Amino acid sequence: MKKLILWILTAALCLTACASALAAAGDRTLVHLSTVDGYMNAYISNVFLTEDGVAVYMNGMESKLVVYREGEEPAEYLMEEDEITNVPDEDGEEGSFISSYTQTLGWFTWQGNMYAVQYRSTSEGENTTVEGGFVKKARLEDGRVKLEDCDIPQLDWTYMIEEWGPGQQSSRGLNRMTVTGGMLVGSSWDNSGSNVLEVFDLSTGRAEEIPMQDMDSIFPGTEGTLLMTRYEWSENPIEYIIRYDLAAQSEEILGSVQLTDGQVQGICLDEKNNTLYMAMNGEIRAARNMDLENTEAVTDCPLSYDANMLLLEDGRILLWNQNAAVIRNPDPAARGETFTLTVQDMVYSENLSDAVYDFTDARGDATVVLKRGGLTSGILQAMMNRDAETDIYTLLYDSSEFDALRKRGFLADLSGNAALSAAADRMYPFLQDALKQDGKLTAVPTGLSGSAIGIHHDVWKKLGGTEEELPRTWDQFLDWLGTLPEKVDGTEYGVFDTWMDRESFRSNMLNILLNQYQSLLNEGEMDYAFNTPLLRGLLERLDSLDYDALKLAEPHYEEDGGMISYDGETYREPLLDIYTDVTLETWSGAAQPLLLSLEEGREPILPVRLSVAFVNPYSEHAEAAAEYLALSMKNLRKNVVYSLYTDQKEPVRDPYFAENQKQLTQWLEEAKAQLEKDEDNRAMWEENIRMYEENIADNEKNSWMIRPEAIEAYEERTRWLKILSYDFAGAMTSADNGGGDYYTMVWGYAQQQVSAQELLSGIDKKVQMMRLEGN
Amino acid sequence: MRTGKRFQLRLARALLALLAILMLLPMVQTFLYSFSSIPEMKAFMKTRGSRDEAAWMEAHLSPHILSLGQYEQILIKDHTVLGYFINSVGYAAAILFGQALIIPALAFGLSKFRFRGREVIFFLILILMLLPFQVTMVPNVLTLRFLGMLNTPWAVVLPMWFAPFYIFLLRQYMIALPDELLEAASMDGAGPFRSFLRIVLPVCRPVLGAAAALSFAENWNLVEQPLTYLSSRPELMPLSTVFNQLAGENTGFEFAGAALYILPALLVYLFFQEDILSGIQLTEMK
Amino acid sequence: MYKKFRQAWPFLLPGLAGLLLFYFIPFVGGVWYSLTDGSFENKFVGLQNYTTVWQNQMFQLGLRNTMELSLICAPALFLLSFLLAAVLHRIRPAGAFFRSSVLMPYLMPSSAVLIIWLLWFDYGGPVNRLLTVLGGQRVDWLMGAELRLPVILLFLWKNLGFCVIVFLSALQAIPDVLYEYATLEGAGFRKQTFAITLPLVVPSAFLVLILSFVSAFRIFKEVFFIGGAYPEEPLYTLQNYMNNMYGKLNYQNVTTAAYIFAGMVFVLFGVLFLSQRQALRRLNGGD
Repeated sequence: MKKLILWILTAALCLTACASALAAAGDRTLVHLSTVDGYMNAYISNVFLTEDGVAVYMNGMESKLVVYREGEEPAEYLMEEDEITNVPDEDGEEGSFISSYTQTLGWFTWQGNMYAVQYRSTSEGENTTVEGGFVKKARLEDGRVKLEDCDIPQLDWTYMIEEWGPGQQSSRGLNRMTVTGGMLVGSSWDNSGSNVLEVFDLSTGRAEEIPMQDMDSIFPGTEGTLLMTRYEWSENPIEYIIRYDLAAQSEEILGSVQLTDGQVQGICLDEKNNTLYMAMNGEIRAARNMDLENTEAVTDCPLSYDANMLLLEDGRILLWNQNAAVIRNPDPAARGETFTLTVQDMVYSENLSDAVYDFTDARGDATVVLKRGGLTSGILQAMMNRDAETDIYTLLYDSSEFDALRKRGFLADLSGNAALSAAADRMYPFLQDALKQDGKLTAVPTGLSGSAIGIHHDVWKKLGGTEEELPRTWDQFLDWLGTLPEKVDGTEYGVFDTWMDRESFRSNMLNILLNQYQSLLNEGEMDYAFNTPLLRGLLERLDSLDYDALKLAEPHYEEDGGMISYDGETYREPLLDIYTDVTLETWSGAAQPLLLSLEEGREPILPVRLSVAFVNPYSEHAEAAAEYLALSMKNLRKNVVYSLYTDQKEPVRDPYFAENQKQLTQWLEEAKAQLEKDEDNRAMWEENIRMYEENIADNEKNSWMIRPEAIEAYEERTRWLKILSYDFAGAMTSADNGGGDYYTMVWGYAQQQVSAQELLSGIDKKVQMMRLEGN
Repeated sequence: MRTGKRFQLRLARALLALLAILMLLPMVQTFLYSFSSIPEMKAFMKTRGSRDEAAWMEAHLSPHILSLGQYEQILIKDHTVLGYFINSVGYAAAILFGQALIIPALAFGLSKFRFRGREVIFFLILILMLLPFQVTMVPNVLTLRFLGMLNTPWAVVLPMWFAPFYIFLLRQYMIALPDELLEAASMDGAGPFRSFLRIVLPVCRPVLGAAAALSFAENWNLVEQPLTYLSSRPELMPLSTVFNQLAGENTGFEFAGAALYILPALLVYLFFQEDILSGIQLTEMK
Repeated sequence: MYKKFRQAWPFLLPGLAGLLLFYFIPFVGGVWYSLTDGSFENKFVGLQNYTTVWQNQMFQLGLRNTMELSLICAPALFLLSFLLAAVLHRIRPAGAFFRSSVLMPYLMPSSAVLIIWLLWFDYGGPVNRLLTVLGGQRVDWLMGAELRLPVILLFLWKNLGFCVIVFLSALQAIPDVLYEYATLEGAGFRKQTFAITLPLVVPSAFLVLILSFVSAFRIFKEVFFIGGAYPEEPLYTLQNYMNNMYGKLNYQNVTTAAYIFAGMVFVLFGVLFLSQRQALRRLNGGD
């Protein structure tokens, strides 16, 4: 008997433990459209509540409605094809058509039904006209969304039609559609581009446009009202929460929030409990009894930027924006045994925000609060205080703070996490050297980039140049530059982009040279000084280039400080590109970095700026933090992944490649078929066929996201890649406090007002002092 | 011999006059410059730093056009300078207020009471007077952070309430006060506190005025403390820290700002001049 | 004089508490920082920090500069103010205006005046103009070692007033009667000076000397405005070093340097104090 009771008790205990482990009950990610591939295949344009669930309307390759019902698999309903008609024009010229298409602008629910708002755009000859405001009732059946006519009259679309040219009309968008008090309300803009509220009476179709200045966003309120946020910018920005009465067109300020970082992303009012929920800075905060001074963080908000918020029947909150829709439970009691991982992301890493979804779904017992921005100086102080509040930080590898943390041992050891260790071992040596200290992994990358001057090899070939002729050192490069104006003369190519001006060129070159030189100094072989004959010589040569021959014009400055550098010359395809990235590039038109060394006999250096994430050694959730970082590594963009790991050899196709090929092949087939039937227009069809075949071949050759040639080229140059570490010259920008500004010197040099000698000795003076002080 | 003496006198006066002019010139010039128009000032300031051996900066002793443009700019159009000015006023007021409550009392305690360790404490205070700000900077930051006051105005105000120099000044003055005063008072039945209020303070008026003026001069010109303690709240900075930036950017109205900033100090000076003089004279300087 | 210690408490308490909290404790508490290494493990390293800091090139530069500047500024201030006070004392009633004007700069915020000051010493400014008129060469005052002169002059300009007043009051405190009496007794100027003036002035002189040094150490404020965190070499003072270390959050070095500096200051004042005692004894004894 005793044993039975014991079993029952144990079972009960297990069950409750399970329940609390699945705590924050009901937290779910419904949809997360990640941008891992660098492309957004689809985006969420509307989310609304249906009778039995949540409907997400996605636009993209295919427009579809996905409905999430509790306890069921998400049900997909494809939209009917957009109504496109192509009718021969009786009255117009021979062979002209009147074509029209109907587009769904958005969705709303009212009185238990779903409605779509559509407009139709008709093109007749030169003119395009728009008719709008068609409301169709939506019925979900057999995996399709069927739109039917309904009782709601056509909405007066006058305010929504925009004339952007003579006879050219288009429809404005209607954002954040919501129904309140029998009115459909959305935000749009007027002819002068200012924010307006569009209000449509659903019983009469009457429209009204109400100007709304400084309106941040609108959110649904109770009957006849809207909630709005208004952002007031100042040194201490304030966000106002306003209740707007549609009928009376009056505002009532419910309160305001003092913002320290970030903005209020979304709000949602729980009338029953008189609580206002606000999504900001990675969390959802609750203002009980509308007390905006004392808000309480109740759960996390993984969405970055905008967030729309809807209150579900059971009190949970639905958050959505363009690429994600999640449900969160704001009831602190439901949290149970959860802990919060706090991440301070100072370098705005995409992969970290994507990883939030994965992490919270995988672990029911943790939430992630992802904060962006913040002061880097705060990190060192937090370390001195043994502050455990933030678990993960991100910084630039070459920042002085990271350097100090690294040297003083304030980075937690991540080697214990198998996934991270394995990932690190697969990385190129130049990365491993930077990320490991004494064999221990202390940081993981979140992004990397590096500037170099690049050359379009195909253009060089077309100009008759060969590989051997390309310069190997900077001196040779400057010589070679002198020969280029002659080479491009008379061709359709130019040396640089038409819009490149002298100042930008000089300041970028200086940047590249300084970075390379800094890397060289960091190796410790040379005396640590900037004002050396080597560097000075190069900069002085840069001074004496014939800029006019290179068609690098002086920029013109506007009265108000704006800059114009494009002279209105015809576009010439450039040979050289000064903004070339040394990491793996993803589009086909990119230039390849020129491998230039600082002097004869030295190897070329391609400096890379790395941003890293690391774990606070005082963190109380170090293991979970490492797990989170492991997930973040999975969410890195493809080109970053290819830049990091040595084992990535497979070229990657453009995501639209398959679709395009299918479409083209289909048209090819149709054209071929037409060729048989339509003898009269034989020439036209043959032309079309040729065109399609050419396109297909072209696609096959060029439609890559990561080209095989790019992979090869990158692999080759990894020998020369070096991670930039703490940069004295760059550190000067933060160390300066009055009297001699680094930026004015650099800009002065770019404007040819400060000589190379002055610039370098100025840098040297401060750098020497900083070095001698020690750290 | 007579002519000799008169000649000496004349020479002395001439030299002193020159000196006086030099002493006052910066202020006078600031005020003069503040009445030039902004474009004029901008153009003038642009001539700084020119290496041209042939040209000199113009003496510009008086504005070409008398204009209130600079003042208009800082008082009406752009309120940032005014904002910082108000910060300075706030700090000065808060500091003086606290000092008034604490320092005379402390000085009184250290001068008119005999107890063991009195001299030791005073000696320690003397030592503290000698140390520059940087010596206690770091530990002060930690203390303030512990108290949660870092990056708030309190961080600048609070430590100044206990500035050792004024304790020294007041104490030296009070020590010279004859004991008879206090004895008379206590015979009338007044306790130390009443004597302090009714007798000591009024008698100390000159040195209190002097201390107030000197303290004002010091805290009107605070630079290191705000830069260190308020590093993440630039909007709380007093005007003194901002001048460099203003001049560096060649905004054209830095002189009006400077004039505005000098003005209260000038007024304080004129008002308290006599007090300072007599206060110093009567303080025992041993 | 009140004998009852108990009664002193309310007067002393707030002031002493504040002094303790914001001055004594930080000064003493900083010792902990100077004895550890500031890394994650925060090991106790004993006096290692002191040796590293002492041997650091920039620390030595800062120390050298601070000492040089103070040894120029303080005595200069001392002598000049004494001279001026003596002159003012001589011409007594006529000196009122000058007395006022010399005190004014002391109360002026130096940050505001700096703008004008730098204009004067600009390459094309009035000071250079004067120089060329007198037959000299233009000097680039705002660069290099020459920047010391404007800084020193600014220091003198500001602090002269207060010291003059102190000396003046000391001189004025000596009753004329003494001099008259001494003249009657047959004592010459020299004897009078040594027997009367000097002994009575020495305490004030001592004060002025201390004040001069204290102000000289505080010269950092103006230097920082002109030169920034990394000024020209000859202007890089110890406070620059400490400030920069603070900026790098190297608390260890800041506190270590601070204690070294404080130690030297105490030694200096100890010496001054003792020599004052000596001087007084000599003067009074040799009467």
